[in-house]
Amino acid sequence: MIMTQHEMYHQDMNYKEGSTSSALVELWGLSKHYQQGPEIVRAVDDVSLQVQAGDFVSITGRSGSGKTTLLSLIGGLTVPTSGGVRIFNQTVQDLSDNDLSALRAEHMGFVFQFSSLIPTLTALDNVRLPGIFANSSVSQAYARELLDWVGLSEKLHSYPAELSGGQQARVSLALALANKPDLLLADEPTGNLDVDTEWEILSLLRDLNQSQNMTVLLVTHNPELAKYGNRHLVMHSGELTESYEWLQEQGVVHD
Amino acid sequence: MKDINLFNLALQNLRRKPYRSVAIGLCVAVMTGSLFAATIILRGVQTSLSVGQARLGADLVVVPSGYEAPAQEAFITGQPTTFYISDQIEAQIAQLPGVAQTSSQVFVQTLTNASCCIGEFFLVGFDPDSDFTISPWLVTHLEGKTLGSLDVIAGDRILLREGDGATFYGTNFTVAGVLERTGMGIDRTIYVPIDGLRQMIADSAELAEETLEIPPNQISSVMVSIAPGADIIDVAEAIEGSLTNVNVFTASQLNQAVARQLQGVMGITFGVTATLWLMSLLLVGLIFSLIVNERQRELGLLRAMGARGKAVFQLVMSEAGLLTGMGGVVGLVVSGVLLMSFSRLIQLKLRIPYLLPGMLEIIGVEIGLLVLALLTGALASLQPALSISRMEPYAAIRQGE
Repeated sequence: MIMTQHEMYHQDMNYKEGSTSSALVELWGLSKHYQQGPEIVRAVDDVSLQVQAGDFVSITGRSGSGKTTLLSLIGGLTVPTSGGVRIFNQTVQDLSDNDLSALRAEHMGFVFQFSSLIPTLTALDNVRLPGIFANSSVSQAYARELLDWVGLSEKLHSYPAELSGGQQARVSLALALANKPDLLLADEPTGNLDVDTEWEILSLLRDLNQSQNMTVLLVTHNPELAKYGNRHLVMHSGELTESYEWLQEQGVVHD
Repeated sequence: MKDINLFNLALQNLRRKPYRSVAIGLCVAVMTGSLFAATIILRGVQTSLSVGQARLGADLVVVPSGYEAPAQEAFITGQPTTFYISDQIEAQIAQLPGVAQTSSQVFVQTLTNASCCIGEFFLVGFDPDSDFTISPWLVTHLEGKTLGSLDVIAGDRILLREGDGATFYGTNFTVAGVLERTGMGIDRTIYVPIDGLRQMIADSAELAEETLEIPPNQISSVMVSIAPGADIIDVAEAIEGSLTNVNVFTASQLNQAVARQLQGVMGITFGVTATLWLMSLLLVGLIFSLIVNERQRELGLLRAMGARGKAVFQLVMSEAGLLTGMGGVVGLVVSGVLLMSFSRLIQLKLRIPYLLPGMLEIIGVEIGLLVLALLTGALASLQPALSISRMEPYAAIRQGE
């Protein structure tokens, strides 16, 4: 039985361009198709979504379900085949490369599954790196503060090769936060880490969301991690749906 | 890192593969250094050719038959030589049509252990009464002072200065003046008035370790100035036609002799240099394609951080510029030091009288070649830089995984 709150979500998932909304992220009819040999792969297929400021949205799904592509579309890292993305009240498809880059530099942070660190820079310099591309540089003091926050105050001057996988993931998180983003897009940030480190990173993300009201979109293959969010979506063959289990937990649907 | 910016990031990136960076830098260094050396030598040749004619002071030089080559070498490099012919030819030449002035010179067997001077130098007797090659200089530089029989004029590269004493074959001379640097054999020549030369020959039997034996009434060459309107080739042919046992060469032939000596060397040098440049261009282009390909994901990640396509383009171009620029500087410095250190040897081996231009010109050439090295880097890395800067960040990140 679908209840009123579910209807609200249903409406959200079928958002159309032109709707008036205060959502931080809005997607409408978003698709990304590409040719692979004789077949057309529908990596993302007709996805509509609204994410409010301060949401912590978890997107789970099997490998190859289109999660990463969806996150890249939201971040303007790739161009959709059809549909659109609106973030911070700006339609991504209408932005020039410079404007889109500025939007990423000033408002968005990315965390990837693999290390996004420059091997020839120390942890401290890696965290300061995004400042080159933003309007204001990242001060040493703030970079230290971030590294201290992720528990790496002892590793400021270590190079990525001198850090463990978990430590690199933490530096990557600090780097993503260097420009004080409003929206954090995390793509399997704990994919290669042990369970303890995985939970530590997730705790940091939740802390960011709760204490700083930062909007977080977390992509993970691990449904357990989805519990950290206040909203859980499932990606399957390019299509995005609300997690039925999560809806049940929230009391949105009943058996 | 104190300041973090694109330039420093580019510099750090070059340190990732130090051997590869050094190899590219060396390639550019060799290219730039070779081009610098070739350019300087070519400029030296051009300058030598242009000043040589003016410095010789004569339109034609008449020497005994068979001595044209050593005479030219003596005029070009100051390499001493001796040969003699009767002084009567001067009067015969003077009577020929088209000849305005003649003046004879006597080449003297040079002592390498003269007390005054270090190294080998060329001792030449000249007649102040008829001379028109050295004397005009004396008028302006010695303020009309008359040259005594025991006064000599020294070339710029002889370590003698005005007022110094010098003893040749036991006869004491005084340096009346030092000629300006010409880049020709004149710089390594000491000019002795003919009367002083005769006295030196006479005194050498008693005063010198070795007697100087130059037959009386013998000369080595006759400098000829042709009359206005006369054809230089016609006069040269007239001299060779009317006098037996002489050869005539013109100032332009002297230049041609220098050019001939250098043509082969310069051709090879520029061929090798052009090949090196082309190889550098291809090598740097190939390596930067590899570098960009290797770092595709990383450059895509920079885009995700907010780097504009232009910034990624600038980063790749900066790396190429830094590498080729540093290689260029190393090449220019090494080449410059080698050229300066071995300039005399190069002059002797290539038989060029003039090598190093003024410091301003050297700096100008260096700046030009540094720009060329930077342009090589820019040209070679243009395609990979454009390609990655235009690539969709997501595609760069995924393809680089």
